[in-house]
Amino acid sequence: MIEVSVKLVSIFAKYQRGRDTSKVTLKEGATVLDLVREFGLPEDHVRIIAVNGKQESLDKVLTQGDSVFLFPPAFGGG
Amino acid sequence: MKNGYWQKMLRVDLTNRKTSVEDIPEKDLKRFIGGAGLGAEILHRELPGRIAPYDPNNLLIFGTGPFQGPPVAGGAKFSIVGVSPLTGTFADTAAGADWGPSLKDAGYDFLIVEGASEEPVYLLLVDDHVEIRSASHLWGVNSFDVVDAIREETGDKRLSISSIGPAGERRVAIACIAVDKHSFAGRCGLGAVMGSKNLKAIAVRGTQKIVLNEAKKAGELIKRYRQEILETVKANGFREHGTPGLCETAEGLGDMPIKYWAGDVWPEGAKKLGAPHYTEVLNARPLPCKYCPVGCHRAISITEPLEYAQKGIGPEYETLGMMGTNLLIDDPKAIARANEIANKLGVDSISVGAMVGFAMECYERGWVTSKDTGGLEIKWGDPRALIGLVDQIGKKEGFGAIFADGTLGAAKKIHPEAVKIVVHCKGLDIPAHDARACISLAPTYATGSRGACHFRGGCEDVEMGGLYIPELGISKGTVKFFEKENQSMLAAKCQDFFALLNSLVLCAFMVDGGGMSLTGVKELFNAITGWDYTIDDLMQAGERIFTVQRMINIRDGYGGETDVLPSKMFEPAKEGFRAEKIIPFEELMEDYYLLRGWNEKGEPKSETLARLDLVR
Repeated sequence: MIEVSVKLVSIFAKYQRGRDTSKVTLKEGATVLDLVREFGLPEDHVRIIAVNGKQESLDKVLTQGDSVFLFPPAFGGG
Repeated sequence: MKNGYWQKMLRVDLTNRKTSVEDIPEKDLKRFIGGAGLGAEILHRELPGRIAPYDPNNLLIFGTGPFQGPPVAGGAKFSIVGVSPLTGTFADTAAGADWGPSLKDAGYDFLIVEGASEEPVYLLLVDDHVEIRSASHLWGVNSFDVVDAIREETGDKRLSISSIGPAGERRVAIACIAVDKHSFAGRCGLGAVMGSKNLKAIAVRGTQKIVLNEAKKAGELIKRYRQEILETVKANGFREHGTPGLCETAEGLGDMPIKYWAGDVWPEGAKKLGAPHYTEVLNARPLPCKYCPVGCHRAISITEPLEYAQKGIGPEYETLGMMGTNLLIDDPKAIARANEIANKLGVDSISVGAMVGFAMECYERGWVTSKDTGGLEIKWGDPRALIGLVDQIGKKEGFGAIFADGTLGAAKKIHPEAVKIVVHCKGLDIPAHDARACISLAPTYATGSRGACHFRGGCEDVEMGGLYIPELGISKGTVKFFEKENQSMLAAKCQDFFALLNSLVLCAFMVDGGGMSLTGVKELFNAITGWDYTIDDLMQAGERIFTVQRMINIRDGYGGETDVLPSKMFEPAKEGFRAEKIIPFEELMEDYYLLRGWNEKGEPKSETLARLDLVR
């Protein structure tokens, strides 16, 4: 198993559902998509992902201690 | 003609107190669509060359398109074109509420105001009735109260009213045009142009219904799109939280301005300013424009603390950026107060926030002291400084009066080094999106026809995953943060696409957030006009429109040598998502010019003008 942290902000904040997002346990070899499904986020809304401060995609394999930021889609720039 | 247009333009000459109705040839509409597009073409044709913004010969061109008239979701919008007192060149600004459809219902596609009245006046247009009425008793009234006053004195509560506040009257160069106490044609200072014409307001109502080419099909599409957009914005949180929902994403990606563009990260600030916190503490609810299922504007209600209590219009993302993180202020209620003052005095909340940030940096550097400001301390993070200075700038009083000609104008008076720290393009302050994070904004800002503008592009919303246009090859993965590939293409295509949207006139949030597709736009356009345009035809119209705007810029002295970014945009962050990243500006601009078909001086080549049917 691995332990990662995830940041869920703005319109994604409600998906935390009281869980401690600083310590999320996933199976070895889990991807960002597995993390998205773990929290029940709508997959098509997760378009911009950062792992350890670098842009990645849903199929990125996570490792112990990774810090994941799942950004809600950014419309309404006006 | 059954094409969704009246093909009628009302011209009002305020100098000679004359009004006339002119025909608009269909070929002009086919090439430039309407709104900001035909507005640009008219400006290019009728102004012989560079003109001083407060010269009575400057024009104020209020334009609609084929999407005004029928109850199109996102069709409440209209465009205003003129020469900006901030930049001295082409400006287009847009607003919603009710005014665009009302002008159309009154029987006009366009209204042009020229000349200047000797005394303050307002225009009253109700169907065929056109009247220039005295506004001397309304001069000095704020932009909200004047709406009530005009409805009261005419006995017509259904009038839609575009107006200026004291800032426009006093020719503050960032003065906006306010609409129905609800929406604001904010940028570029066309409110000051209106003030220079002694024009306080334009009140419109109409009862005429435009004829569409395929009315039944258009009606079905309109109904279907409204329902689809409503379902989309309920599902993605846009309706519930509006643009404040963007704050934490933008900050997380290094896109939000922090400490007048000198800061790198502030997640705590973004969390307090943005939704869901914003929605909760300001009791925010959607406030839709006419026909709109999104309701991006926020109706807010604040009861405590008493000093910030109000029921009114809440600040948007841009304002939360420019008056919030930009100033290290994290209190959304304080910003709501400053926003209210800006709205009622009638100034652009983006530019006034930029001005306060600039002032705070000058204060920190010791270029401005409390002696200059009459005792007002302009410190980072202090809401009293924000509120005090917005009030002064809007009234052109006290220290704030130094900003009457824009941030650049103030900088020239404050200190010899101050001009170097102003964050602008062509004199228009950069809005709350950092080109160091979303690098497609680099060519967008540098070449923007009205100056630095994110929403004459929208490319940052593509980079941040909110807007895709698959018909143009713009989808997830088309661009990656900080990598050059496809970024200039994205900038150019988005500029053309938004030029099209601002000519139709369609609110971008139907597409950007609402999920409406470019194909859907095309289908509706063709059902209304009967012109059978392809997507390429529509995008070529967008490119033609952007290019005419560029031709005005060049005529006014803004060519390739002014396609630049301010020096702060080349200072990398030390931490955060964009740590150590530097915009590859020269490469982006080289790609951009190539894609545009411009020469090395940034001028459209003759073959480009020929392709776009712009050879005069």
